[in-house]
Amino acid sequence: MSDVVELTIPVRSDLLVLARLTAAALASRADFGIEDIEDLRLVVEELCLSVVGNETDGTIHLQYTREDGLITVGCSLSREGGSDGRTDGRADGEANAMSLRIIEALVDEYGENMVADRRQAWIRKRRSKVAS
Amino acid sequence: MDLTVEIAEKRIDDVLVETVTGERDVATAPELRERLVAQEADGVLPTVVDLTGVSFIDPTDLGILGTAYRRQQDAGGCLRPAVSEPRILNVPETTDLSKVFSGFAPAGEPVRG
Repeated sequence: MSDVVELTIPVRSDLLVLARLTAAALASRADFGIEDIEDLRLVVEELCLSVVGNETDGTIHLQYTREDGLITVGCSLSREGGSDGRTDGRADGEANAMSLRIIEALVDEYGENMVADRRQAWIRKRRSKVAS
Repeated sequence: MDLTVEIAEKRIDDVLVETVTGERDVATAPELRERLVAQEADGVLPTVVDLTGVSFIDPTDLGILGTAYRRQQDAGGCLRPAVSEPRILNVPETTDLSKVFSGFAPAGEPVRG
């Protein structure tokens, strides 16, 4: 059994809390421990920032999938009135490197693919064997 | 979950204590930066940034603290963050930002650390 939750938010830093809250709620339902939940909250924020990059408008699309002991989060960006619908909001430089470093340190899998002509970054995090 | 975000300032003896609470992220970081820069403009004081009431912190705020720490060092001052929760400490350790600071003030008695 799995749950799929989709969240769409404008590109606004003060709304990233919604992405974190959703991740925490689903991870809690998947019996993740507090440390795993906190890691996931941080990872989801960094995932959004890595996808948004320097964009200041548009819409962030998040898809959360909860399976037994596993959370998958996909994140993509669409710009309002984008010229060709393709977006690659990845920021250059140190900030993006920091985001990727955090993501890779805290998740089991990280990748990118194309979804509906948009680049999507995704992560998978499994529940630790010993919940803390 | 308390989403209230606040920064409070007080002086204890000759130490400035900036108490930061709530969820700290890219949206709230500018306030912390402005607060620390304004405090430096008023003069260099030993500073403790008390993060024991923080429920979430991302590298943006830690980067701001790191930059303020270096500025304080250059000016002959000092800045120490005070943390208690392992999950808050986990962020600087993951990002190596913990190496920026010479140490963390002990939680509970941050000023005397």
